Amino acid sequence: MTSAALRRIAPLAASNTSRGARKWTQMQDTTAEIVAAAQRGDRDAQRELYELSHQNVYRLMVRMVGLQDADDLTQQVFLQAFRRIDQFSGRSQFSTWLYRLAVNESLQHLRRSKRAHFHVLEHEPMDHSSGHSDNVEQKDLLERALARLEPDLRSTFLLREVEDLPYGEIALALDVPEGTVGSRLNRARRELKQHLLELGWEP
Amino acid sequence: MNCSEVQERLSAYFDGELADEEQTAVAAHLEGCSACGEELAVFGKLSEMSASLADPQAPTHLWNDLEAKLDNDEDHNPMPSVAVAPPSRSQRFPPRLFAIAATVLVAVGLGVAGYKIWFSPDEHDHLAINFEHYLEEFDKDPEKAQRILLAKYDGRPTTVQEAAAKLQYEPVIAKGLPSGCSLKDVYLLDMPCCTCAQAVCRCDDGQHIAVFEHDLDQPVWFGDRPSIDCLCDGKPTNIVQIDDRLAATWKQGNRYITVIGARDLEDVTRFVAHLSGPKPNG
Repeated sequence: MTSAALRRIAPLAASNTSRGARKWTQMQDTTAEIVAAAQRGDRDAQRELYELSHQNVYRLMVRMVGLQDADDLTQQVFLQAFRRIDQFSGRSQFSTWLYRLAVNESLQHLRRSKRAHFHVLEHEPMDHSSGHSDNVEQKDLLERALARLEPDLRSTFLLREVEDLPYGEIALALDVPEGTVGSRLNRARRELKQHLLELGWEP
Repeated sequence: MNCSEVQERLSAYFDGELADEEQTAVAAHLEGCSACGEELAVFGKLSEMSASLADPQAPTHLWNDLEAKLDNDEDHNPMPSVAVAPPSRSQRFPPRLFAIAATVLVAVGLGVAGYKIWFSPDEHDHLAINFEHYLEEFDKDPEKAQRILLAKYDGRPTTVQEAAAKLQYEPVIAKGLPSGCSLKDVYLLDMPCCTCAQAVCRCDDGQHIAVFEHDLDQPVWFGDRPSIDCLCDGKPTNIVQIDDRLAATWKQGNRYITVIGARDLEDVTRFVAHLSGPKPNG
């Protein structure tokens, strides 16, 4: 319940210590000049945008499509981003635009490979830290539960809980109304709870 | 507020996304409802667990690979020269269309088709707009072809105004259509990596014509059909024959326009001339 109280603070400032918020804030700070330079084809500016944001895209991709395909699809997202950067109008954050490309790319990939059904996307362990503390076990359980979520719910949950986007930005990234973000998160959280319980989670 | 109303808003409450009034009403309900309170506590647990998830690191070679591909793009811009066009395309083109082309247009051999060979055939489904199946059906049953297309690319009906708002540019069909043709439907399609506007038009003679507008970086794949490159109303245009109809693609500003279902090259030229005027919001 304390978490709910914490989240009453404006979402972007709510959890500066979390990984998502730190990166998101960095990406928001991306100046218009860097984007403008990248639009002119300036390779250094493109590199800078890549450095600022590729971890966000890759992290999302790993959990959307799995480790095996995350490299290729991350590269594809940036390739599309730089090829289409003229179309970025600045009406949304650059990071939101990038997340949108990333989510679309992952969903297209899942459709193409006919792996959209959640049972087929298998969890691949990502945490190789030593020991088997409760924390590591819980993380592993959550990864497995996430892999069972439908892609639409998974992307919504990841953008909120891992990337720390506010609903307005998630709505733009997913091209859905803000109300849909809330209802998808309700479903995602309830289904995650169910999957976790099936996997032996004890809340 | 009852449990059902609270449950609907529980995520938005948890994430601090409700208006103050609703936030207060949900909080008041939670004080007296252990079931909703337990649900909220689970949301909190999930959030804590998510914050501790591993942060998988992207491989360091990604940028180098990406840069090589970007360099390769630059090598292909501007339009690729005739030297890179596949030599077999024009040889396989049906004599009938060549004959028409000769009477109406000047075939210039410019490499608009060159953009189609940036990718190997097995990459087309991944990187290109694949019209192959659509074309297979189009001449026999345009409505069925349309259903296939909508299913393949998650098509959804829209209006020209809505499409303009979504795409952040005004689609060329906002200019209207050549005389004798009227706009039937407009759709947004999620093509590989870009959202594309499609206009379905009906002409006076009952003919269906589809107009697509899509990103320059989305090459068009018409299957292995023979094609020619012509100047239509002064625009280098790539034309493919599909049974008794033609499909045509040309570059316009930073997008491609594709027209499918034209009767003949005159028809293509009419569309090119009409749609390729200056765009208000380019």
